[in-house]
Amino acid sequence: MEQDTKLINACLKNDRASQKQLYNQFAEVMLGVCYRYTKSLADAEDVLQEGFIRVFKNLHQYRFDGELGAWIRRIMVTTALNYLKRNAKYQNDLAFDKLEMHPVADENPEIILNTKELASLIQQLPTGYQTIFNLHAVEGYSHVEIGEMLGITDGTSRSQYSRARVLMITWIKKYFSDNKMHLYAKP
Amino acid sequence: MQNHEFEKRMQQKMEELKLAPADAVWKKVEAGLPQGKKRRRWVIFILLFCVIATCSILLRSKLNTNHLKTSENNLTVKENTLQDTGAQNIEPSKKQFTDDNDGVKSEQLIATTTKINTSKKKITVSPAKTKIRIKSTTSNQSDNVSGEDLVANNYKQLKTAGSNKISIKAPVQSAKENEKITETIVNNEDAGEIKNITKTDTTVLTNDSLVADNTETKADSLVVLKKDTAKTNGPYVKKKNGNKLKWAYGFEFAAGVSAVKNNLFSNAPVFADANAAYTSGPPNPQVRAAPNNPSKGAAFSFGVYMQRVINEKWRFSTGLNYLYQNNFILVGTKVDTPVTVRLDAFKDLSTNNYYTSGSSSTYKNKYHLVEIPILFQYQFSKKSPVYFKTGLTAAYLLQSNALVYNSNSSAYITDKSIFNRAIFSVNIGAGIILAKKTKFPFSIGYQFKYSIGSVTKTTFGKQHFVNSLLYFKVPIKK
Repeated sequence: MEQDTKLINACLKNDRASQKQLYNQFAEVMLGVCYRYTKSLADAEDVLQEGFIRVFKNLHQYRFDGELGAWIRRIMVTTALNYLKRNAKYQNDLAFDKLEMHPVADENPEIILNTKELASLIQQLPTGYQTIFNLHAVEGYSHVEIGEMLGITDGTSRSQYSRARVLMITWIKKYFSDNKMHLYAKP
Repeated sequence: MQNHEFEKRMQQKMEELKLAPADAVWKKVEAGLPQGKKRRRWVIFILLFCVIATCSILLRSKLNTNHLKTSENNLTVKENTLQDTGAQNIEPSKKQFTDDNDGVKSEQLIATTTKINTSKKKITVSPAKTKIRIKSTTSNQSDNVSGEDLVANNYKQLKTAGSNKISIKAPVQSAKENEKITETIVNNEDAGEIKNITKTDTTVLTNDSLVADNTETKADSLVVLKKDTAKTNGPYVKKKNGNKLKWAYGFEFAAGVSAVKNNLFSNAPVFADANAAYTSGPPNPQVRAAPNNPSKGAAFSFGVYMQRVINEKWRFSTGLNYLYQNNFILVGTKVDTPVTVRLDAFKDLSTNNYYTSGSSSTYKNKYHLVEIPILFQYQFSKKSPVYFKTGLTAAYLLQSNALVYNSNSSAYITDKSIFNRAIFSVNIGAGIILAKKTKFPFSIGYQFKYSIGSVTKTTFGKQHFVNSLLYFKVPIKK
């Protein structure tokens, strides 16, 4: 924590070496976060770049009342959501339909996939599902919070998440049974 | 009831996800970071201060030097060099030491030579430190007139016998105090009068180079010796400056009203929103309100100016000014969330915060600039105190926090990238010179400035500065 404080203070003084150090410390984890929200590594790197610029520009707002990594992660998630909203490639796919509550799949299959395979599966979800799945299942945001972040109702968020969850579980099972998936299949 | 086991496993797995970014990512991040912004800003202010301070010191130095000036035409420096024996070797009949009221020792020397000067000159003397002595060589009598008396009598006419050729020469140096002593040599051709005498040249001589011309002894002479208390430790310096002063220097202050307009000749709003509509009926949430436009604010500037006479009617002036101006805009609430705003199909802008549309609070747009005016001043005649001026001003925008409206996001945003740094303005104005016959004939006037190019880049619509300022100019040296 003390090291973080020193590092942050140096970054606030616009010390380039310290900024690079901070970047190196968190870049790999944060690229993983960005990767889950986008459809390609290139897009994820774009988000990462934009996110770190925001991190450094807003570092003075960090109050040292939580983990620096969590604070950076929140910025990355916000950046990723903005990226999805304004990027034409994602915009059409990001429309959140207002279906009735979907029955929740009450299954909890063992996830033996490695992290990269699992992230690739998440990437195959339609963007709307993918976003809500990431926010709820991975980041741990509540549906109310997700609703506020995306400008949708919490009911819509729940519905979308349920469908995303069903899809993910189906694909994970199928992955084991076939040991191979048709990743581009849409629901 | 949904079991959260799946989510927990998912979180654990995803925590482990690490991907190495390409090296190019950091380079892009680095390119997007400010490069010592605050430091650079301070450097600019320090440099500006240094420039102004240096100008002031140089002007002050110049001003002091001018006190030592004599007419080159009036000075004769020839071969008869006084030996390095100091002032004591000067013949007693030609030299006197007196004590002034302030205790500064002054020397009076009756020049033994004169040099004819055909022009009428005006002399300005320091009452405390200058003594004037007039001697008629024909009558071999001398009259002492102190500078104090001379000033007190408002340049009372001094009548001398003979041909009234007045000369001052042979500067000497006090051996005791090693101080520079400068003398002014002036001639007067009008019988019995000293009038319109001006100092036009300076010669600083010291014992080593002190010469006297004993070969052209003529008529009457007026000797003015002035002691400069500045210490001189180095070798004696002989300095001549035969040109007339052509530049006037001084300080300039201005204050007034500032505004930004879409166009000088129209009332088109600065911020337009194609998607907005004005509603006169009940509030309709589907209809977006038109953005507010900035209202007028204040402006002030200060700096130094230099002015040069082109001819009897025209003068050229330039300088260096710091200009601050502001205006006000009604906005909604401030949102401290970083946001990327889509400006157009190809351009995005990331900002740390933004203001929503609305009218719940007032935001002050501030602009800090340095400017160099290039102006021409016209007077109907040399004696006329009224003048008109026009020209261009080149300015550099140091910093601004001004908001612009982005219709895509319906928000007011600000960023350094939205401004054009180089701003050129057209100036027009008029002024009047007051206290013209005093040492510091200050002038007051009005000037109107309009920036030719837009202050903001085209993506953000057009904004032109419109400034109405009252100014006050005071010369250090006229």
